[in-house]
Amino acid sequence: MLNMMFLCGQAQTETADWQQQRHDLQVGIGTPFVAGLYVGNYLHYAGYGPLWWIPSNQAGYWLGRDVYRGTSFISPALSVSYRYQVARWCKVGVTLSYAGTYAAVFDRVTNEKVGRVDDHLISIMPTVQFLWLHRKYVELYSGVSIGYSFSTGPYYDEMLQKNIVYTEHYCGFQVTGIGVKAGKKWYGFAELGIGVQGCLSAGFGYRFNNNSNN
Amino acid sequence: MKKILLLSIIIITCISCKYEERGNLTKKGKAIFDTWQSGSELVMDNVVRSVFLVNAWINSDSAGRIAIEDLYFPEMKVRQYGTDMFRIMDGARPIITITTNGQNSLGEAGTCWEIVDQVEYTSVGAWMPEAYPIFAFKNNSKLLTITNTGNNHFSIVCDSVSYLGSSTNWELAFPAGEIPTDIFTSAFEMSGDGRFDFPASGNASFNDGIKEVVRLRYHFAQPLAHYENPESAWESGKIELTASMNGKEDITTTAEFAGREGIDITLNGTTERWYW
Amino acid sequence: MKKYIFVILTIILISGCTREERGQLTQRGHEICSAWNTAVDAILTDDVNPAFVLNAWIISDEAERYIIEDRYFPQYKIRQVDATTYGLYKGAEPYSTINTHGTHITDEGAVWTVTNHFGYSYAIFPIVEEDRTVSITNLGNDQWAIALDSAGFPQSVTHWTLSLERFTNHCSIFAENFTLSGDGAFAFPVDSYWEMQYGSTDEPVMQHYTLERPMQNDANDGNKLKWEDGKLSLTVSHSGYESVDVVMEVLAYFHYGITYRGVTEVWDRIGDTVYYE
Repeated sequence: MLNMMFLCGQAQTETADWQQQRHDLQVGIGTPFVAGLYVGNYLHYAGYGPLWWIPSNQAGYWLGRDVYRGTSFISPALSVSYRYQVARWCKVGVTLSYAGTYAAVFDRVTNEKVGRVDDHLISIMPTVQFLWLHRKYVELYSGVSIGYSFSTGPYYDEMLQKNIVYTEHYCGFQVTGIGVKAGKKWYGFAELGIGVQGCLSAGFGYRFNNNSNN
Repeated sequence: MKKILLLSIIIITCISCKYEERGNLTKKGKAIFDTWQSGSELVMDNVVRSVFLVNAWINSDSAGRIAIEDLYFPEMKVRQYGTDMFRIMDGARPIITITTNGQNSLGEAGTCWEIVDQVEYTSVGAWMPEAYPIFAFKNNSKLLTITNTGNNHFSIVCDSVSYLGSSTNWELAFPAGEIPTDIFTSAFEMSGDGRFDFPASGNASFNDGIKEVVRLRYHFAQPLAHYENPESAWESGKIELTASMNGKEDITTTAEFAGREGIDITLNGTTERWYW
Repeated sequence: MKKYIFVILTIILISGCTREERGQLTQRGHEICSAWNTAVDAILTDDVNPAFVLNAWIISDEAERYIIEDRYFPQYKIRQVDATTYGLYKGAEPYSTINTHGTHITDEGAVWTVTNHFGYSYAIFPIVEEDRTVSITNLGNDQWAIALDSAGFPQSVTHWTLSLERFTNHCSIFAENFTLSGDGAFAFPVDSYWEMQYGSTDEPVMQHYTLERPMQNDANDGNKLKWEDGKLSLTVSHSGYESVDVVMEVLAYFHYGITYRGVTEVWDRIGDTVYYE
C-alpha cells in the first residue's frame, strides 16, 4: 500500500517535472556531410573535383593563374537550439547552425599564397521534436527542422586573380531519425539523422524552469 | 444515406474493374512465326544474299567491283586473300569469310563454297537481344555451305558448331539464265526445313551459357516464293512450325503467305490473317 | 555514456581534413603544349600524310592499290571523284577530299589541296572553318610548303616547310625522317564544351608559335608522328589578360622539356591531357 502510494507520488513528480522544465537550450556538433554538399566543396575535397568548376583543359583557363589548394578543412556542423516543451511528447523551437570549409589557395609555380576559398553555411530553422519514449533519465526522440540557409565566403577566381565573395541561398533542413537524451536538468544527447546539422551529432543541453511558481 | 452508400459501392466496383481485349486468337502462332522470320533473316539477309553479291564481285572487272562494293557494302570492303578466299571486311575485322575451293563462280554446277559468318557477337559476354536464334556458343558464328546442285538450284546448309543450336537445310531454285547479283531483286523459290534454337528468356549472355532453350522446328509444306520485288520478301508458301521446350507441351502452328497483304496464321484450328 | 560521446566527437572532428597536391609545377604549360601538339598531329595525320599516301596509290597497280588502301586507310575507300579529285569514303559521304590538280605530289611546283570534312572533331581543337583545308606545295629539293587555309577563321594559319630527308618509301611520311620548320598561329575556342555544342563567336584564345629548332620525326612503322628533336616556343594571348610564354623542347623520344614561368620540367608524354572525355 505504501509502495503504491510512493510510486504514484513519484509518477506525479515526474509528470510535474517536464511541466516545470519546459525550456530547453542545447549545443551540439555534427558530421558536416550535407552542409559540405551545400557549400559545394566537400566533393572536391574528397577528390572528385568541384561540382561546378570548369575543367582546366579549356583554353580560356590558360591565361589564368595556375593554382592549387593545399590542405582544406571542413568544420564540424555547430548548432545551438532553443526548444519549448508544449506537451509531454512534443517540443518546438528554433535552431541556428553553422558549418564551414576553409582552404588557402597557392600559385602552383611560386607556391605563394594568393587567396582563399572559404565557405560559411549558416542556417536558421524552426524545429519540432517528438519524444516517444520516456524513462527516468533517458528519452528517445525524432525531429524535423526546415528553414533558411545561406552560404557565403571568398572564392579565389583564377582569371581575375583575386578573391570574390559569393553568396548563395538555400532551404536548410535537418531530419532526425532517432536521438537519445540522457540526464535531467543537464543532459547529453546523440542523434542520427540527415541535414545541415550533421548525420551523426552529439552535444549537451540544459533544461530549466518556468519563472512561475506552483 | 443508403443511396449514397450504394452509389459509392458501384463506383468502387467499377474502378476496380479492368477489361483486357480477347484479341486475336492466333497471337501465339504469330509470335512463333515472327521468331522464325528473324532467324531466317539472319541466314538469308546477312549471309546468303552477301555471298551472291560477292560472287558477282569476283566475276566483275575493276569498275564493276567498285560499283558493287560501293552500292551494296558502302561501309565495308570486299577483299581477296590468296586464290580462293574472299572476305567482307569492316576496317580490319572480317565479317564474312568465303572459301571457294578453287571454283570462283557460283554459277557453275558443282561449285561448293564454305562460308563462315563471324557476325556481331564476338565479344565474350555479349548480350543477345530477345528472339535471336543461337547458332553457336561464345560468338554465334555460323558455318554454311552453299552448293550449286545444277539447274540454278542451290543447297544452303547451315550447321551449328555445337550440338545445341540452329541449323538450316534449304534449297533455293532460281529461274534459268544468269544467277542474280542481288537475289532480292530476283524471283526464286525456297524449300526445305530446319530448326532454330532460341534462349528461353531473352537477355541470355553467351558467356553464361544458355540454360533453357526453345526449339523451333519447321518445314516448308509449300515452297516459299519470292518475286522480283525487293520490297516484299515472300509472297506465297506455307511453313509448318513446332515450338517445343522441356517440360512443356509442343505448340504447332502454320503460317501461309497471303500475297502482299499479310500472313495467315493457323493455331488450334483457328485461322486469322495478319496484315503487314 | 560519456565515453560514447567522446568517441562520437572524435569521429566528427577527424572527418574534416583533405588535401590537394601541388603536383607538377609546369602542368599548365604542359596542357598548352599538348593542345598545340594535338592540333599539329591531326593536321599531319589526317590531312598531309593522306596526300602522300594517295600519291603512292595513284601510281600503283591494282593489286598494290588494295594493299596501300588497307594498310593506311583500313576504314576508308579511296575513290576517284573526277579527273583530278579523289575522296576517302566510308559510306556515302567522303571523310576528306584531295585535289591533285592533275599533278603528282613529287612534281616540283605541284600544289595539292586536302579538304577535311570532319576536321572540327576535337573538343579543344583550333578554330578553323568546318571543312579544314590544307594546301601542300612542292618547293623542290624534297621540300613542301604546308599552309592551313581557313577562310572562315583566318586566325588559324600555318607557315610550315616539310622536309623529307630521302623520300625512300614514297608513301607514308611517318615512315621517313622528316623535319617540320616554320611558324604559325592557332585560335582555340575559349570554352570548348559549350562551343562544340552551341557554337560561339567569342574572341578566341590565340597561340602564336615559332619552331626555333625544326621538329624532327623519327622514321617508324609509318602510322604515327614520333618527335625525336625540336624546339617550340609559343605565346598564349587573349585580350584583357597578360600573355603567357611556354617553351617545349624535345630532348629525346617521350622526353619533353617544358618551360613555364621560369620553371622547366621533363614530361614523358604530350597531347593526352586535352582529350575531352
